[in-house]
Amino acid sequence: MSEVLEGVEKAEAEAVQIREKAQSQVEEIQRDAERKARGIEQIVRTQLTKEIEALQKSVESKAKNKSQRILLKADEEAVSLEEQGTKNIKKTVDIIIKGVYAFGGGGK
Amino acid sequence: MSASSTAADVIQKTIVDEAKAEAKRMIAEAEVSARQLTEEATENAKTNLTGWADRRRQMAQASGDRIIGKARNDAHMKILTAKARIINDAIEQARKRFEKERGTAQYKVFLKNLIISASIQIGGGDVVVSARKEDQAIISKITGLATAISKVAGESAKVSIGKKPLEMIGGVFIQNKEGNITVDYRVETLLAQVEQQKRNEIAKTLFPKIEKTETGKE
Repeated sequence: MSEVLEGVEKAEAEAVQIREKAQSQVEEIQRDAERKARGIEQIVRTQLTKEIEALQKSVESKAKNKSQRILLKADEEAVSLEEQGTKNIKKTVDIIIKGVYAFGGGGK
Repeated sequence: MSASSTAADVIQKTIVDEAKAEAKRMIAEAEVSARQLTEEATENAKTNLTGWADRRRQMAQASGDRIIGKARNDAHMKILTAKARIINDAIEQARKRFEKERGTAQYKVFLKNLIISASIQIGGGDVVVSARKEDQAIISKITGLATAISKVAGESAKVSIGKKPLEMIGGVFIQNKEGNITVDYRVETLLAQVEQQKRNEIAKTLFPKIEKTETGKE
């Protein structure tokens, strides 16, 4: 009879070990999952950051190209102004002189 | 093998098997729970970062808008600067042309008319005319000033020339005897007034083709 009891005690001791080992595995699984969960936001943030940086580069590149076109157009316009102004300056000086003489009640 | 030992083996096996089954169940449950935790964390991360990502995307778009806005401003400034340079050139040429005209008969009439007009504005009476040294000589020879002024102002007038000549392009600076009423008809002042008053006419004359395309916008 004592052999039977001994065998049962041994089996119960083994069962305890099995449960303890399982519990230990459960805790390890939980820790892993929590660690992974904590890291997920950073992973998602990194992916989004890369995507947004690419977007920003593209937007800025397009904007710079457009800016260059705007400035080139302004340069052309400034040249056109210079040409027109040079051509019409004598007529304009006449208007100014006439305007000054008008203060004395006369024209020219 | 005795009957009791067989029964004991069965009991032992049952105890161990139950423990193993429980262990398996515990681990399976833990794995399910871990998967749920990961899925929830992913969902939460996406939700949490949506606003952040949207703001970053808006900032990226805004950086492009800023670049273009600055270019538009720079373009506008280039055009304004070009126009201002040419207008200033026209004013400068007008000033030089005026300097050349100071010896003409028209300039003499101009001075006379300025003095009469300014003296009438002051209300007649005793007026002091300040002018360039060269113009003082011209003014001193102009006749009929007092008569012309008193005729319009309605009271007697006396015109005297200020002792101290002024450094200026031309024209006159007139004040009453007390010096508390003045009329500035110096040519540089008149040029500035003409530039203000005739700004549109000057711009249209200088740049007849540009008016609609000068914003630099595409």
